[in-house]
Amino acid sequence: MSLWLLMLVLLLVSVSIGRGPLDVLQAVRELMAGEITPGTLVFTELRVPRALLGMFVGASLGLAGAAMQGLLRNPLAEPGIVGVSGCAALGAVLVFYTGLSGVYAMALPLGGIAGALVAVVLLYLLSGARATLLTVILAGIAINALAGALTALVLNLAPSPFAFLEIIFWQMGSLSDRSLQHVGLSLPLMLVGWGLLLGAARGLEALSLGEETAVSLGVNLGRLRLYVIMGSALAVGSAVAVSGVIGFVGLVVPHLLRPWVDYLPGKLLPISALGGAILVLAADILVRLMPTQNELKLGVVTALIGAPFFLWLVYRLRREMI
Amino acid sequence: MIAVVLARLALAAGNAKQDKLLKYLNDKTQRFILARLNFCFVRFGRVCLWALVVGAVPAQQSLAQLAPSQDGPLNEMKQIPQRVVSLNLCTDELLLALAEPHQIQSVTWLVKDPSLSWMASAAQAYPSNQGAAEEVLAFAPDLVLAGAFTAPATLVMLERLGIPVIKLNPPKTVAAIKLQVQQVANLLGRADYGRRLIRAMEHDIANLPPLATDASGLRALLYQPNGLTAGGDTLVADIMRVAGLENLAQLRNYPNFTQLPLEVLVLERPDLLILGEYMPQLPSLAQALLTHPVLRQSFIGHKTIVVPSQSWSCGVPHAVEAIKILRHAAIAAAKV
Repeated sequence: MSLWLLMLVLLLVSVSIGRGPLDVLQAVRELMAGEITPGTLVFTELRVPRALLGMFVGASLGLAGAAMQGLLRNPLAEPGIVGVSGCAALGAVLVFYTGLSGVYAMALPLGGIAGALVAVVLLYLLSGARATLLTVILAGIAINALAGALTALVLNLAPSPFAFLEIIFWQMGSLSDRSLQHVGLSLPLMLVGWGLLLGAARGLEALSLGEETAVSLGVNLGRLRLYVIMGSALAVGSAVAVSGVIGFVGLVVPHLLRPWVDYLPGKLLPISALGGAILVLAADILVRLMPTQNELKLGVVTALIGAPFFLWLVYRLRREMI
Repeated sequence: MIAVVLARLALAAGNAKQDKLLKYLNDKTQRFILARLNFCFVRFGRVCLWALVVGAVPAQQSLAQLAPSQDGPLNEMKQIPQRVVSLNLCTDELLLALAEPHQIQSVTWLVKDPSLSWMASAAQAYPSNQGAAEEVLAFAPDLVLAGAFTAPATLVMLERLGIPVIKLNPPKTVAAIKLQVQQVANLLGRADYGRRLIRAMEHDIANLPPLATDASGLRALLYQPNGLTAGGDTLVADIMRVAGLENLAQLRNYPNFTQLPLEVLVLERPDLLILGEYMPQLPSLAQALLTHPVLRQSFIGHKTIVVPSQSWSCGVPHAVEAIKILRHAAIAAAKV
């Protein structure tokens, strides 16, 4: 409940700050009166989409992280670390710079989803159903490296002279100057992804007791895998297609929230979505408050929070493994 | 093997784009970033290559010689050059505009692209180069024209081989364009022709359609890919001034090229939004910014004008076209 409140507050803060001198209250009043002024346009076309995207992208990443950790029964599984986000960026880059998304707008999130799907399937095949901690991470490193290199190659070969510097956006993520169009493109697909992931909650709960037990409890493992794989691909793919790769959200959030839900992987899902939204909204507020000449990329902030956390996790897991 | 081919492809594409970008982004910060990129990818590669080819040349020595700028001895040519090679889009345009056809040996491949240069059709007749020293040598030039951002290593190499190199800094005002046109015309033995071109420019500017008296002080803001706007010390700003527009970026004392967030642009409420397009047909996030819905809705009708990059990316007589476009836009915007 308090998390809902926190998210609401962050949403309000998010629409009320920015580089431009906008009087938000006045803009809202003008909006209510049905006027169209530069202020209302900035509010509806720039501030609102930015806040909404922060919320939706964060929720997607948090939710996908929690579900992947449940399915792989691996606390380090996270869309960014295991290369799902990287491949989604590659897919989006491919459709964007070839001009496909200019002709058919929906191609952008679909490209991201296709990339993400390749990565999740590859990860599952590479690490196997009985994956150890190590194989998942190693497979992730390989997928990430390949996706990063191919993204760089595509951007270098792209005809536009601006493309090769835009790798910063795709690999670090940003929500600046996005539009309502981006919300419209990504939200429906994200919603489907969320539905699939939340539908896997009961199965993941049973799976935490072991595969045999889960089967004996009547869980269809094949369908559970399909739900999580498709759900993560849809949620992460469409999120990355509009915001670039924002790392570590799916790692940090489920870990922090696990004690709140008595370590139940099923209950962890919805609360992780909420936590992810809060983290990304907060990070996006932070980058706008920083006194930097050009806005800091969102992925920088989440990595600054997430990477030390990751190190601490590795340290703790190492002790457990010995 | 495949990796090598891929790497070469990537490098070639990277070089091509860098040259296009260098031409386009001529502010200090961008210059700094690109100079560093240049150093990493191009200069270092070439320095290594020469160290291999020339053998005895130590890398430090060639690096040390890169430092001083080579503003060419514009008036020191002993005889009129007959085999000129140009290594920069803007010097290509000057050369094509001023020289006799038989004086031109080679221009860059960029100037043959109609989306980059208004002289593309005139350039088709000449062999193109991509700016590598060995290519230039094959043309046996008696003069090489280079831009301010041409890879310094290449120029050092050419000078060491006894080829006169003249580096032309991009003019930052319309007056400076005239000056440079005359200098290059003199150099090419075409002083009279240069004077004629300058007179034509002056004639065009003097005969611009007049602005209504209440249209003075029309505040305009330039928005280019990546959200860059132009402050006072730039050619585009001077072109806006000559066209009779007040540059809002200058009023706000923005540095030469500033990245302007979209919401700041909208809230500044300029009377005229100038969209400086650059290869708009090629998809990029930088270009997508110019088509953001908030701009379409904020600057309706005559409040927006698109100026294609060919019109004013180079300080050549053709920049008059940009002045004309802006003057007409100013007249239309004043009526709204």
